[in-house]
Amino acid sequence: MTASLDCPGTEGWQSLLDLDLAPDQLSRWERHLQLCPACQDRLDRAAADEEEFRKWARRLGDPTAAPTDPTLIKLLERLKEGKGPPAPVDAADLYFLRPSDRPGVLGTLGGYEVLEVVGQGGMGVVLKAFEPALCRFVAIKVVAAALAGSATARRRFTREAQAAAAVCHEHVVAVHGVSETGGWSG
Amino acid sequence: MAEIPPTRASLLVRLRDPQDQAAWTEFIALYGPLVYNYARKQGLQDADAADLGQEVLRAVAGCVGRLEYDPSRGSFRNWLFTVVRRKLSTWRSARGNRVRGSGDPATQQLLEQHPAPAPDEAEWEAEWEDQVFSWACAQVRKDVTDSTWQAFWRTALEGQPTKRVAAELGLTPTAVYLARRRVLARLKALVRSVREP
Repeated sequence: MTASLDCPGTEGWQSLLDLDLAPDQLSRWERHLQLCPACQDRLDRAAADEEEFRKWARRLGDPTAAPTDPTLIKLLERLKEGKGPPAPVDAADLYFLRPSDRPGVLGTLGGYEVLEVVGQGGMGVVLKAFEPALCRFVAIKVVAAALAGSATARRRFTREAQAAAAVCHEHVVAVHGVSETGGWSG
Repeated sequence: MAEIPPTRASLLVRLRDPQDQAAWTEFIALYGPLVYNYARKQGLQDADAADLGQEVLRAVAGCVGRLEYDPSRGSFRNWLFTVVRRKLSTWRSARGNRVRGSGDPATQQLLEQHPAPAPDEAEWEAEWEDQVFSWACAQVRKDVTDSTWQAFWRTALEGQPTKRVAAELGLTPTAVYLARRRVLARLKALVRSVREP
């Protein structure tokens, strides 16, 4: 009888309460608990106070038994399939900004007050900015830091802007200008 | 499989890593249903609530990437609520404009006499409480067998006698007792992990 009263150590308890336990381990626990009031007591204390959960259960029933709203299921799948959280923009990626004291302004670029980062890709970053001179909001695309040093990449960037500027269509963004500031393409 | 759940703060920090798909999955499992169910209770149709949920969760994840999470400035779910509230009011004003353009004046007048209830913080808190429970149950349910879950639910939460439940599930009374304790301990740890101080 003394052998079966060999109580499990901290690790044993941890695995028991984490639900991560092989069936044969679980049967050993069963046998042990039948014989050991001390361990039973310890387990009771670890899982005391069922009342809060009873209140929940009375109000909501078993949430795992209720069918989930199909639109919610679709939403969660859609979110999961998305590429996850948007890539955070590293401060280093906004290397071209000059500091600004205005609240809500990330920094300035030429005559524009940059307000936020709209998107980011391999080629560059797209910013939302305000042009005080004309009192309008604009989108600014800046070539990525990694490519800014390459003359070829800068030429390609400028050619792309010229090609887009030649198109006038409601589904194509109107290009207001392309320029290089401080040696970088913008 | 059954690691100790991370604290909220550490989940939000992990969210900043775009490679950490597991953090994103955990994040949407907890907060996705919260935003969706709250929007539904605020009177949105299911498709609109889903659009709002998608917009809010992506926006929030983007912000977490840029801002250090600072619990001293208030809890994460209060911050989330301000985002939800703002999106809801944008959604409502957009709908208002649309209705004004098409509906007949009498109907429109009637609608304006019964404005949608203002988003209420107490309702948000209640929705959060419900979601904490539903989420914790769903997490545990993935890790235990059906009979373990039933043994827990019927004895701990419904107060059925252990012997009867054991007989009906084909388990020993000790196994039922073990299930009851183990599942509750795990649920409590999960709930603790998402409740902010």
